[in-house]
Amino acid sequence: MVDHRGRRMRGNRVVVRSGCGRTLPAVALAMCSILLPLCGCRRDSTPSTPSVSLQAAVPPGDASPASVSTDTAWLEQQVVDLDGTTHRLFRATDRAALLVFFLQDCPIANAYAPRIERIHQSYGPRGIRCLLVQVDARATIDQLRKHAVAYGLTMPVMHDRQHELVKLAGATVSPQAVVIDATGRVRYSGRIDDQYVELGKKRPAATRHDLTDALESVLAGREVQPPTTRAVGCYLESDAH
Amino acid sequence: MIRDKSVSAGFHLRVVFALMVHFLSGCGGGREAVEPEAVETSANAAGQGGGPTFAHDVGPIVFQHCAVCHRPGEGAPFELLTYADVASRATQIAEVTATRYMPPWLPEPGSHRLAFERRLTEAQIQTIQAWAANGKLRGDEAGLPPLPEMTTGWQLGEPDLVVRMDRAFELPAEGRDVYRNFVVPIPLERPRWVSAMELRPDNRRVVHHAFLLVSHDGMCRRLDAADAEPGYEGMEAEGAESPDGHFVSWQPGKMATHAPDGMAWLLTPGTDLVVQMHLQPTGKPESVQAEVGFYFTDQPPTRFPMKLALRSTEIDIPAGVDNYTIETRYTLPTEVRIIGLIPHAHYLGKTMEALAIRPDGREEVLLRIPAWDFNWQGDYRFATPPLLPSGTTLVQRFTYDNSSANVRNPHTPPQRVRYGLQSVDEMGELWFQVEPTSPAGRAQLQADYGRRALQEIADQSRRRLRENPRDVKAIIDLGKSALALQGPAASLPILRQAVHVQANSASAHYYLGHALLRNGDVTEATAEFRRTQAIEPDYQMAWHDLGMIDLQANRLKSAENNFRRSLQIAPYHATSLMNLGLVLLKQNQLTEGIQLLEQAMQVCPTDQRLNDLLQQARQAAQQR
Ligand code: HEC
Repeated sequence: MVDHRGRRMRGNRVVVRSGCGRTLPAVALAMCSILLPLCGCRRDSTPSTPSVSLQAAVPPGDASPASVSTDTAWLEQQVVDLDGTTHRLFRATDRAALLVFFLQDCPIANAYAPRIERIHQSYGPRGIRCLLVQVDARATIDQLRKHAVAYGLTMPVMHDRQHELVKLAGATVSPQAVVIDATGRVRYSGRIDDQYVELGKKRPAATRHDLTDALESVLAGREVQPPTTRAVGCYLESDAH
Repeated sequence: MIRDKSVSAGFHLRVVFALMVHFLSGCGGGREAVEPEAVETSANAAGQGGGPTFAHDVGPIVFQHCAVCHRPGEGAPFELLTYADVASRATQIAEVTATRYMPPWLPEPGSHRLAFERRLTEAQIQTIQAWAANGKLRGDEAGLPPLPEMTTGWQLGEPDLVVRMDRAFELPAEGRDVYRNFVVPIPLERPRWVSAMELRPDNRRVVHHAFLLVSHDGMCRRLDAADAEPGYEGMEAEGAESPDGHFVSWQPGKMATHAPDGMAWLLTPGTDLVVQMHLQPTGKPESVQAEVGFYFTDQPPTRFPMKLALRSTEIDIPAGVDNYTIETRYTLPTEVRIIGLIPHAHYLGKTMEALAIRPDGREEVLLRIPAWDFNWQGDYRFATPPLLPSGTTLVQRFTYDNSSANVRNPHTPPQRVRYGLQSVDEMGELWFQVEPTSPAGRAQLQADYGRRALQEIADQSRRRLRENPRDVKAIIDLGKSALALQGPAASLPILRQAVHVQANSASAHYYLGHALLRNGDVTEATAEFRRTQAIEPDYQMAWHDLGMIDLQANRLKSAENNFRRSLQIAPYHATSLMNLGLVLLKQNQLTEGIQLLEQAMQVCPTDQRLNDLLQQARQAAQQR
């Protein structure tokens, strides 16, 4: 596959790169932990939830996650956007990160695009770092750029070709929202709202807004209830790339 | 969806030598083509050892049953044409086929095979499950059958006439589904027999289903003009009807087909096409502009199917009730073939059954839908139309779920829902397209079913009047049905009430005049027609009836003027054509008289009296 500048999309040009925590040697790990305070990490931890607790967010009924997320894994995660710029997943001012896993030709995910954008618009200024994680390994950077423009998505878009974030988050469906607080703990994983009940069955409008409820809880320092819901949409095949 | 204006908006006066009430639905009539039968692929679940493979097992199923929609330019969201396409969605495909959401096909098998059935066998479903669960084996793709041939342009070839929405409709990125009726004038110089219509939306992704309807009286054009955007809102296209008894529906992947020989229908100049579309927002702003191709034939129809509806307008579902049932019946007075049917309900619809109980008591399932889904509605037709003897009872049995367990319930929390045309109301209709096996049977069915339809209108009008005693349209409908069912004397007090309630209603004055005329009160009738024309100078039927008064009094010149005026307003009004022809015959203008009768015959090819009159006139002309 060839990227927008005509280079082959392989190796270190993968658009999502795992950060320090999982693969880099100890030196790098130490560096990262030095950086942690700058990231504003742990600022948001609540007394009732020690920051080190690890939670794999798995929607009920779904297969077990490919890997278990750890707090350091999330906090040190680096991501590369469609322009090739590398970012830390968390920046100093972020109170939490929202990842929305997305297949660009999944009709249910696309139907949610305006809602996702609204959440970005209203929660971005409140300290929620919203990222759209495109997971279709077959998509080109150019297609994904056009997709974001067509659907009016203005948050950073990542291309998780190797499904690294997918595995870290245990995401199984498009669209699926995963909220990670500034301690690196996954606080919510699941649907955006309850409009879709199953494939081919939807309510005229949502009656529960699980994701925004979760974000409000995180911002208010409360536990998210329920912390996992079942997302309805297109399945992320583990071997799709 | 389909409303039968010839029934719901009344009947027209037709005169040969005596006055008689006639249903215009008796004219023309016909049907849509029978689609070619789907050919079953037999997928061998076993494969060649080692579990099912794409090449040997799954590919052929997908090519046969999915590719027609899941290919570029069609309505489905992604392609299912290659191993990668299918393997990358294996889990989802296994799920949607197991739940029978895909391929979309609501009915269960009944007593008679439906044409164009899209239903996987249990074995095919199992094959897909096994393949998805066992490593999605590719197999040797050399053995893969070729993709079925699929047309990309007009399915029926270059049409004789293409009409197009003059502007695109802009669909917002999100929000509730949109039901919109687009009115497209049909430029036609002379009446044509239509053998097929094909809809081509430029953006198939957003069109969930569509019906092609027509409007003869400009009403839809007015509704369109009153709405700033292209088309006008409405789940039930107000003012539109299905063309001459034909059901023309469109869903993703539906094949357009020609009517078989002898079943074309007449399209007259001045008719508007109404494209009713159910549009689903996709997440980004979309625009949609559809075109419709017409295919004409020079072969006048020789077979004349009719439309029958079983329905309830009394639907009243308490909040929370999850199994509200309606049941209606109609016993056929004559032998018919059932060509096809359309069931219709809104979002509370749960199950649907269409049964036929034969005179010997044998019960057959014509259609059974275990889980109604408004989104996938359409028309169904039989591979071989079943023949039902006289005395067979057709049964409609629908159930509704107005509880919160029905996720499609438009009300949260549930509310009482009654009959109505809006998406938050409910409906229960079952339309049959039938072909009586003899002309006499056809006349019998027309008369018998006509009485039933009038009775329904009367009942419904009474209900409307209980809610609003000053509903002038309901009063007029009640008066019209009383006129037809009981005679003029019974209808006069009702229609006088209509005029009293709304003195400026042109139709109230017209129908009062019409009933007076039927009652022999010519002077009073004339006065009412003049009042009608004072309110609405172009009220066509008032001109026609004034012509009738002149014709009865043998004032031929004046009758001729009135009928000509009527035809200026509605050039293909069969009764005016016939009566003007009669006036001309009486004035010894045989050639033009015969021409007019022939035109009337074209519009109303099954009218026996008209046919007799035409034969007499031709004989008279020959004897000259
Ligand atoms: C008659 C046309 C048609 C056929 C045949 C058809 N599909 Fe679909 N399919 C659609 C449409 C249209 C949609 C989009 C539904 C929507 O957005 O409401 C769809 C959606 C889907 C989806 C996505 C479901 C979702 O809710 O996102 C899958 C998976 C799918 N089809 C698989 C299949 C498979 C497998 C077959 C064959 C066994 C098949 N389809 C046959 C028209 C069709």
